[in-house]
Amino acid sequence: MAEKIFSQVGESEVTRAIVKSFLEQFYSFATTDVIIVGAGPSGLIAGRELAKKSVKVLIVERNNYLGGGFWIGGYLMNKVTVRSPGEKVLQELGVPCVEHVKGLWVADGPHACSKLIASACDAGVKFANMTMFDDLVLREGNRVAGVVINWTPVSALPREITCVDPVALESKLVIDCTGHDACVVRKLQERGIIKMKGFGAMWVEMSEDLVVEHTSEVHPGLIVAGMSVSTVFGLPRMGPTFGSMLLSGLKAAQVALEKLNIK
Amino acid sequence: MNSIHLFVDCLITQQEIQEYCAFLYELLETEITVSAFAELIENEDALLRLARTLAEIRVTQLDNQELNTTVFPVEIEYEKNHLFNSQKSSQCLYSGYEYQNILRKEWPFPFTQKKILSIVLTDRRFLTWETDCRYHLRTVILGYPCILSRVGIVEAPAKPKEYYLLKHIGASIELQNWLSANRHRYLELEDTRMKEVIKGYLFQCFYFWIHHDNEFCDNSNCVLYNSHWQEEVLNAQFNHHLCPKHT
Repeated sequence: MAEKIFSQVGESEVTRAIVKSFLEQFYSFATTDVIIVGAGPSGLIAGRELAKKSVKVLIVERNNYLGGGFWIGGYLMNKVTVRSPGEKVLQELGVPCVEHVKGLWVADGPHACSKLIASACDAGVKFANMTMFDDLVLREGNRVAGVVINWTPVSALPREITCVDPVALESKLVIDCTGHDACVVRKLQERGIIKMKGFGAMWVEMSEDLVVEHTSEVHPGLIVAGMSVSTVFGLPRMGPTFGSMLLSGLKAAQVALEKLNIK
Repeated sequence: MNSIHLFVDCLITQQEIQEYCAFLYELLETEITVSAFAELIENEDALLRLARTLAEIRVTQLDNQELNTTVFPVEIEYEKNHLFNSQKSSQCLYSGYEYQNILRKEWPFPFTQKKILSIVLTDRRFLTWETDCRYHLRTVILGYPCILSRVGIVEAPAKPKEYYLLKHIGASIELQNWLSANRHRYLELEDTRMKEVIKGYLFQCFYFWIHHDNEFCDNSNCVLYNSHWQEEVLNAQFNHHLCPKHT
């Protein structure tokens, strides 16, 4: 009898392997240092930087895929652009990029995005994908202390059968990297705790600096990064250029490290 | 006694400042004082107060007159950092009239004295709410004090239409080529023609002060013309001549 290529393992062991490893991770990450909501470029880079410093990080992503809009540039074309000094981050990740005109760099979206995801994973970031951010966990003085989540498909079920309670995860800090929606800060706004200003018109030359410089802790326990910064502070939007997403993610990580007293 | 006070809130050379003073002195032989805007801020309290009020007068939506009613600590910090950082001007948008109000309230002398022509030369972006229910970026806002924005000179008057057409269709190489070939038709911040254009706007401030008249002229060759296009600026303000009606 010819020898088989793959080892002989039955279906039940495959199931046990999935369930055990998933549940062990989920059990462990019921309490974390930092939860990042949104696995776009700012969330991934923030997570990577924190994990490199041994911070326990979980990124919650509503889609099955990670990377957000970083796979494609504008108009469904899969070339991403960064303005200087954003190319330094791409080069550090090992992503080939070329200078299109002085100060503007272009890279392949799939290459840049997959390298960034791999780099976050290598640093130790864990993910809860297909997971919807549902609400915030609040403590004394409305300090943010975690997130409430549910499976993404639950939101697609008919209302009659959607009585599926979410679960909560606790963390020292939460970072909102949900893009223009600013879903996490919006929950504070719904409770009258914060007032967002909404993002302005496109003005690329101005918006990128402003987004990076306004990346900060907007409420105790809640840091805002990426395009959600623009929505929270009423800054101009920037269009299909990603340098400030990467730099805002780095700044968010720096703010988080300061809050966690980690050098 | 009438005098002119120029407050510099941007990175320009001493030589430029001397040229502007000489130009103003030609218009009226009077005492001309030059100060760095930051010198007005005497202590930490004044710095914090100004930083907070600057954050409050930010324009956050071009089609909504309401200003920044809820201020976050990071916005105050941003304003603080940029008040003394002449290397990098603020990238935010501000209400021009509210800025004038702040200066008058914070420093009644010299900003409410009609005997003093106070001009703030800045790299901030100022907007005014107009009758079409939108904010518009401005080069100069006449009043007490007069606000003259270098960035406004570059960004408020529109470049030629071809520029926006190329920008709209995303033709970046063609856009760069167009920019290289048409430098004579628009201004940049570090442009040798800026000095003469600034003199044109200084003239507007001076005319307003002497005649208490902020009406623009209809003659596109007159320095008092309200230029909406860069090419108009490069004619009216660059040449800074008065038309026969205003001479």
